[in-house]
Amino acid sequence: MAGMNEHSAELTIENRMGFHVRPVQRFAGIARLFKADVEVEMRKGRVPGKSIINLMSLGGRHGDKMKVTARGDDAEQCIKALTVLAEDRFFVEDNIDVHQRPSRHIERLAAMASCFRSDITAVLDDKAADAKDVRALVSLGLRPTDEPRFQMRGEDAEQAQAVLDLLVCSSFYVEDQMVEKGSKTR
Amino acid sequence: MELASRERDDAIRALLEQLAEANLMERRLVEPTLQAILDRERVGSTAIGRGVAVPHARLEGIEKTLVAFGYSSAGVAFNALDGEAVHEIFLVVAPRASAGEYIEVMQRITRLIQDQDFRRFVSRARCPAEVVDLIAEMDL
Repeated sequence: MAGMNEHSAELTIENRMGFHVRPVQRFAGIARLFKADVEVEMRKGRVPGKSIINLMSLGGRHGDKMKVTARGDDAEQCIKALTVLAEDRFFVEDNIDVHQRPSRHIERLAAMASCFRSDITAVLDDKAADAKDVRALVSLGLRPTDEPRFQMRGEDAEQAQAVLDLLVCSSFYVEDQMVEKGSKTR
Repeated sequence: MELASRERDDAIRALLEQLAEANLMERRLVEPTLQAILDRERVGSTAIGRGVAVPHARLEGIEKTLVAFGYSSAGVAFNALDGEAVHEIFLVVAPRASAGEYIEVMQRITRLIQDQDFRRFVSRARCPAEVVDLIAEMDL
């Protein structure tokens, strides 16, 4: 459609196990929070980016590149969020040294919050911090199992709220915490 | 096989027992494999939509990738994101170091799922051999 807001990015699958169930679920889970249509193109085909089954049928392997295109009002934020996800191995922790990244939940929160134009404040107990600022979040003492609230102001607040709520609900995808929380995970 | 239980853990155990029964997997591996699969489910349900789940694990002691298929007309509770019960379970057990083959198996499963004919016929199959024939015929 003429004038349609379109953004795209070329992302690389850094996961050693490829684009398997967890990476695909997390990709589709984030993509679904946006109004934009999302399409993923890999050497073997092009599929809708919100369907887990369609994405898995691409059979993406370690090192494969995929072109992700979003069309719609929130296309830019959508592509930014999917890029954050892909660059952090879709938040899958199989092959990362978790001890070297004890603050990865905070890095993930700040990176995702930074995809949006809205001002976002994270509130934990009676303290508040700029959700896009890693150092400010560290000063909150935020742990993966904490459930901060977010105060938003801006045009894309609705999508930002949905994405950040998913992060909190999933223990920021810090997987050993997800196992412990069990039923709270996605 | 038609799954008797509507509970996730029992359904997964039944499929693993089938693999052991068919001598495709050592019986002593049933319990650790079940635990590995359930640990994986706790990190996030492997229900992938359209009434399908792909519980899976990679572990030591498994020599080749195994797939067990179970069908439940009543539906199994699988903590799916879409909230729907799961009717088709593809259980995948693979060797620890099997990245490429593992992805390929998952890819073939999702292609089967996308085939409406497969899903219609599998719901009407009367015995496991019919399902095996069906997969062999369609999974070219």
